[in-house]
Amino acid sequence: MFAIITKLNEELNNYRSLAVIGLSKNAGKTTTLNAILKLRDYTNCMLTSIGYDGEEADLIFNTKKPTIYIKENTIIATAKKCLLNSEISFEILETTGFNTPLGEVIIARSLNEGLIELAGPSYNEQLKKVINILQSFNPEGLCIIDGALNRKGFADPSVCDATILCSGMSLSKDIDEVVAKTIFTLDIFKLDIVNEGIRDIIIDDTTHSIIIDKNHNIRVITMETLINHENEIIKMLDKRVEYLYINGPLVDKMVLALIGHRLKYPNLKIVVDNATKVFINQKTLEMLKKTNIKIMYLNNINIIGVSTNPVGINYDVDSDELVDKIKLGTKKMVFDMVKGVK
Amino acid sequence: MEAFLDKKQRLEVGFTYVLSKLALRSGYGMTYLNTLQPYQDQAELETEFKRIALLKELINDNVRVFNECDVYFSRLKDVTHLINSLDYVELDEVEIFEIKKLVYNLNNIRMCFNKIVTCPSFLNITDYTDLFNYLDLDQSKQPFFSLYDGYHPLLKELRHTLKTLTSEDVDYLKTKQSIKDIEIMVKKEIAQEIGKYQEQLQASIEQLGYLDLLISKAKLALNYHLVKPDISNSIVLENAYNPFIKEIINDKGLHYIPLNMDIDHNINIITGSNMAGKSVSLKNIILNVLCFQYGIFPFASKASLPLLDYIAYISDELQDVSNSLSSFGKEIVVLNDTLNYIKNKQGLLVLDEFARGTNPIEAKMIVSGLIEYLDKLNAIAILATHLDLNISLEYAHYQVVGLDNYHENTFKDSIEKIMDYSLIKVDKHKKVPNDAFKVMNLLKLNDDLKEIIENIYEREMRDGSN
Repeated sequence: MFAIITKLNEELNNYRSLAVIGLSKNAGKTTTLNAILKLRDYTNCMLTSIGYDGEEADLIFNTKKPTIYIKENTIIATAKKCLLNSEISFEILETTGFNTPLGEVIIARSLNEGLIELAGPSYNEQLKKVINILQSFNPEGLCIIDGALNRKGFADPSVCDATILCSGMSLSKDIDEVVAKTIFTLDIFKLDIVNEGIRDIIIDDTTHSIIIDKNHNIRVITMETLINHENEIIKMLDKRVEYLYINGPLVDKMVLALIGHRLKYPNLKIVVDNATKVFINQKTLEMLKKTNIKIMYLNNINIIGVSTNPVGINYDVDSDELVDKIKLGTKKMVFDMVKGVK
Repeated sequence: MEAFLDKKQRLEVGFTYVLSKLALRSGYGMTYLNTLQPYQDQAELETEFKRIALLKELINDNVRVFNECDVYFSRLKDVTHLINSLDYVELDEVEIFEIKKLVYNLNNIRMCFNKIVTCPSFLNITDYTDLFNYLDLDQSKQPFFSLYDGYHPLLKELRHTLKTLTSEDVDYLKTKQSIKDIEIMVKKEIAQEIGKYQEQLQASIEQLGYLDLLISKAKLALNYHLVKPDISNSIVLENAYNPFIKEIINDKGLHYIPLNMDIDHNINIITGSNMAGKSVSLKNIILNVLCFQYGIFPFASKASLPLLDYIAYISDELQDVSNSLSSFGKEIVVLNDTLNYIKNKQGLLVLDEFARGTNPIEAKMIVSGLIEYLDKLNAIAILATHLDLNISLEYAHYQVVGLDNYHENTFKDSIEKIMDYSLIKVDKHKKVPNDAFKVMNLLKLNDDLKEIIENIYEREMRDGSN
């Protein structure tokens, strides 16, 4: 375990921003974050989060949600209320004008050590700007972003250059199910990227969904959302069509409908922005693999490793067993931060 | 009615466009612009114009100073509400930071302006060095803020003690509480100290808004090569143009013709056939007179204009067509409102094709009557019409040149490109040019139909002269 953690630490030197996302609530995201800070010796790290998890869910499940422990001289971006209620004294460096339910997002430097709750900006665009401000105070540092539940979108490569996926026994009481779901998610993340020519055509107009045929002719879909408009979309497709770019989430219903009429368009590739836009289940992905319809991305999300949490709500498993089982299904680094970082 | 056009009219004549070209950099500037009123006092307007003219030169000679200033202006965050509530609200660290940052930027802007040799007094900014130093106890020279140890004699020691304790120690909570209590006290003291500067800070942020707008006006004048106008009683415009309409016309690949106007009569009539660009000329005059009222240099190589109580603009193109009244009915309602409003006021009344929507015989009578009525008022009136009126020599009469000087039988591209939109002053009665007939020829109207129309024309002319 220590070898892989050392490798992770070296790998992190290559990046300026790191997203930590969880497969589910209590997947060990905050634990991972704290462990990374410890791993980095609490130096040269900046912290923020996107969205705010809220404490209610933690109260229901009665699990302890660890707040982030930081040392002196750590630059963070968090909501004003979190900052002023913290036991830590801060030097205020900048205000952002971005508001959250807990007040404006403030950039501050800690003057002593202690616990802080992170409640960063609510939107991707704001997060980009906050990361820029953070990095202006420490261009060499690593900016770590805590992702809130259901906001996986923030790991967008235009915002973060590396991502750690957290998975653990909070997902299911059955270890094999946890392993399967984790590997399935990694499968989704490793689907292919479109070639640059097609990418350029699509990013020319990312406000609409579009259809591109083999001669690169474009048809713009003017509907605001494609959800519940599967049949209309299928009517627009024929054998010349090569790419269907969906500007938004890709859901089971759409994929199943497209599979159902696959004879109409033998070369179809479904394109979405990145893996966080894909909301399909394992069965659908398996069905898709039997056809020649492919899902492709405009941008790759760089998952550098999987952080596992053997502690569930009522069911704990052996740390090594969980790590080893996930390792069988992926070439990525798999580690238990709590065990690995001493 | 609105004294200086309503929102929709301002958009139509290009005033909204001009305001959008003022590149304001701060929230204070935006607030100042949004509450801006037209000038009412000649001396104040003259001062404003002189300042803009002087700033034009200063910006040219001190490019770097003003670029640096731009940065500080753009970093300003609007904290007006905070400054206004200083006397009754307790401040937290973030709010103290906001004020420190404001003071930091004010000091920087002041130092920037001080670099200008012969810096005029309107660019003088209050010196807040004392307040800044008080908020910068660790002498970081940065806008950052924290409750520094130096604010209380016990703070440093207590904070040091706390660092040596762990949460298990007996004194841990007690020390923590003591620090908290002192911090609350310190924040109150800082708020009191800042409170002493409340009025000065209020004046300074008002000044920042004013200066942001003033500098933007000067930059606009530089970008468009505008010159300081004279304040006078007549309306004189040389090479005047409307940048909004000019952009639209240029985008169509057409050439925009600037306007020369020397209005020395109360009643001014512009004649010309339909589509001859009369509305374009009116919007040119209105926009430039309007800019002048707001202390913005007019878009002309020379301008001499009066300070007015109102600008009224009646045009059926601006009327709400969804209204149940016919367009003519609506015009009458608006005219009535306007005539009531302008009584005993000095202003400019512009009518574009009044009574366009009614039959030409009645329209001619209505417009002739309106002209006679307006002549009795003290308004400067400009009327554009395509009607063939008998215009008294007491009135000024301008005519769109149109196709008057075009004698070819063919044309390239489009009719619009051969139209001459410039205005000439007519000193004796002249008939509206037969541009429509020329257009008929140029566009090769069916020969048989053309012949019938020409016969009717000749018959009409004969009957009319009888």
